Amino acid sequence: MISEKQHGLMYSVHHPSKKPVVRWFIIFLVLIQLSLIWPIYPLVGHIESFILGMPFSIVWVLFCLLLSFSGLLAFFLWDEHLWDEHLWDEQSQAEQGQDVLGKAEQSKILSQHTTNHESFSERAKS
Amino acid sequence: MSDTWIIVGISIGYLLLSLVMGIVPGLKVSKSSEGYVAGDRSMNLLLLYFVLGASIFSSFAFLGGPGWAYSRGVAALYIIAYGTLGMVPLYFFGPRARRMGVKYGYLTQAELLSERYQSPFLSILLAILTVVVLIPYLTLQMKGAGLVLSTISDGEIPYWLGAAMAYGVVLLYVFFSGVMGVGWTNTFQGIFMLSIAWFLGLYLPRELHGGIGPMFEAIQQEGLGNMLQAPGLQSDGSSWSWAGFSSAVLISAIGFSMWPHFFMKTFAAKDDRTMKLTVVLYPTFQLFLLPILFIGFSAILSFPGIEPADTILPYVLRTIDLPIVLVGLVCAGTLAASMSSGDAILHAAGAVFVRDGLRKFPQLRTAMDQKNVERKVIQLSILLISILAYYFAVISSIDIVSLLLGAYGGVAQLFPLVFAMFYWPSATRIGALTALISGIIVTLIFLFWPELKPWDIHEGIYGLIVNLFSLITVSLSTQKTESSIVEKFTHA
Repeated sequence: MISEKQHGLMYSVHHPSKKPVVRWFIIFLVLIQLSLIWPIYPLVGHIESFILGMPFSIVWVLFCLLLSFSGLLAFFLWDEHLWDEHLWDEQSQAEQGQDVLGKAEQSKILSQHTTNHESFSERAKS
Repeated sequence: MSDTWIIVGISIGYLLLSLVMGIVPGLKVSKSSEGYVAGDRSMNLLLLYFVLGASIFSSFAFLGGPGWAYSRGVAALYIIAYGTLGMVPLYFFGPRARRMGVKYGYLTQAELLSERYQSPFLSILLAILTVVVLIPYLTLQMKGAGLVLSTISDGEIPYWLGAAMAYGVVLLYVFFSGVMGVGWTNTFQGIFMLSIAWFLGLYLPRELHGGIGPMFEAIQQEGLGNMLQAPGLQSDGSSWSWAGFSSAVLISAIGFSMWPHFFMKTFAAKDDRTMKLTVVLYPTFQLFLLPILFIGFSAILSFPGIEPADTILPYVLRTIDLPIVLVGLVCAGTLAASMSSGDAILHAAGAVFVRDGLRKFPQLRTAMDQKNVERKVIQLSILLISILAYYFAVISSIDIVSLLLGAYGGVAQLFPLVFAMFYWPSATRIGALTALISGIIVTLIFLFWPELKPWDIHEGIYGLIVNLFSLITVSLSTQKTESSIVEKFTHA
């Protein structure tokens, strides 16, 4: 339930442990965006030196583009890994708690997650 | 057969191929609205990547991009600078929106917003704004296609017929196939125009200057170094201010993912992973803008003084000695750029008009709930919107470009509402409505009366400041939305 007094931002209710990493990731993204505008881009947006035949003002933008792509890819891989771990944890918990939860309920929990996440189902099959 | 008709023949062949690519995939999805608007929520990575990627490769990118580089130098990098992170919000919003779509049947951005903020009025308002913004956008794409066909045929195909031919094809496949037609044609058109862009972007500097390095060195040696010094020039030839450049990049990056025809593709994604991976791969599409800019840079010294700058690509093609088949392929590539944006816009405008506008009226909703009636109404709307856009492109003399200029600042005003929808439980209906309306009004005031701006920054930034302030203050002082509704979104 949401408290009447709660005015702050609601973060991922599924993965509270993601919060610090996401925070750093967002800081990384903000820095990249600032690198493409004032105040960072004016420091590096000059012509010299030429790299691969292009002036540095162009090279810098390409560098930021590649950096953001690498950062996004790394974050995505971490995110995927987290999902997989989270689902395996739930699966093992479900197996351990067979006496407490009925099998139907366990499979319901798992199927709910697997519909949202293909890579898990692929791993489970393998 | 004359050269002109060889080029025209290649372009017409390309149009026919697009038609087949667009019609066939539509036969495989259901006849429901979900099939027509969201492709039965089955789009894979390849399709989603090209649908979202090819949408930015519009007539503007293919004709305007080289034009900017030619007349304003590295100011053209602005397009890459805002696209670098412009799609990232969809990494976070997209999967949530998609899951809600699967669970509750949502197909558009406004359906989510109106449910979260409990306001049918917000939905109707967004429907009107979307159509008002997308029609000029579509009109510009039509104008681009008409110009290409009339230019390459030396006027044998008049402008009105060129626009009608290209958009007749678009209308046919969007009308019959919906979003899957858009998806497959965009994939085909995307691969095609990227190949053309890279070919020209590397060929022209080599042909005219001996390579990319000598080209930039020559520009610097000729005393035009200020074109290569960030942030480049303004359209009048004076240096662009850092405030102007930075605020334009920022507002475009914020608004980028909020365009209705972009955002609603999240509902078409097959799963969360596809949605996220599309966002991750998106910067690779931005990289393809680079050769487009090289085309403009290559013409700075070789063809000075061409007006308007947007015609530099067709001008260069007519002037240099390229094999005629290649010229035909480049023209087809330009048509691809126009059509791959135009089809997504046309499809979104029709879907939003019906789902977010007409459906909010109870009598119409009852009628549309009958089997496949809604799909037919969307198809009819697509037909009417095409006719209206064609009217503006060919017959009317109203200056619609100013409408589109305002749209970039306007669409960014949706960002705080979408963010708060998922992450800020305290946002309320009155807060959201006040924020959106005040943000748009402030943006429009500074767009039409720029002399009132206190600082030289993009009008959308002023709108966004007022928008955020209104959202926070009004939401905190008005009645909260029912927690069960809020939790649907914050726990999505």
